[in-house]
Amino acid sequence: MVNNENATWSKHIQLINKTSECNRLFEFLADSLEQLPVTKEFRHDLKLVSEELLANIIKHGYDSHADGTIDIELAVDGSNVRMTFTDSASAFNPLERKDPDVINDLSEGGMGILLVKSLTDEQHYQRDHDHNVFTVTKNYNK
Amino acid sequence: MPLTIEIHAEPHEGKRISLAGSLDTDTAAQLQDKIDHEIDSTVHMVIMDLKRLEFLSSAGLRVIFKTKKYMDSHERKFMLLNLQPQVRKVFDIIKALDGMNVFKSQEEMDEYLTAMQNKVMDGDA
Repeated sequence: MVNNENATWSKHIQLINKTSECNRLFEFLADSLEQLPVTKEFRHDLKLVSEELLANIIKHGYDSHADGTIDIELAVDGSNVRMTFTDSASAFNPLERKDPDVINDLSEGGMGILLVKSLTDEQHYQRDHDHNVFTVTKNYNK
Repeated sequence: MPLTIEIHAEPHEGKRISLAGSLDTDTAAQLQDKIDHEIDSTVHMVIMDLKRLEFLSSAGLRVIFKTKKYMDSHERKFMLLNLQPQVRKVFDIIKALDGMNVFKSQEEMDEYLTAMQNKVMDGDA
């Protein structure tokens, strides 16, 4: 399902659909990026992107009462860091959300995906065998 | 990383909400609960001091915007203070600082408040 066979190396973690999993996600990310020559700003940006994508899946994908898992793979290919989020929740493509008008309508969603789009180089969504697969790529030499 | 929230009284029926740590999808509800208990229409000014806030995501932004909207609806003041670069970047991407009172330092905010106070006193004279 996740095609990272060209990656130099990759790491994986499985989370459950609870917001308390944020801390495990942050630790996973910090450990993974430790071996790369990335800036503090790059670490922060990817942490924010990861948090927003996890929150999107928990909030919009899984029903709040349903138990679910989220598989996250971080793969490094040259200076590209690619993160893939896979879940088995209802089909949900966050890229289809329109940009928010936050000041005038607080109920409007879309702030998270706007941050994701602004802080990564590429974003891709696909529905694959009852799974949502969302991939972002960010180059640390840009 | 946890979120630490401190709320202190300020002059002119104000309250200062000082945040430290991470305001994210896991901790945003803690801030919302505190604000629901501490901020009502008797509060004339909210200063949100983000000097020690290291991480902010959209879940946290929503709480901040909701508080601003509440204060605006009661014609009260809402101010943001000491935005660190990584936090400011989030606001900038969302283009959320338009129409907000944002101060880089305590001194800058004090000058603004003194000018406002003088304006009120001049108006009363």
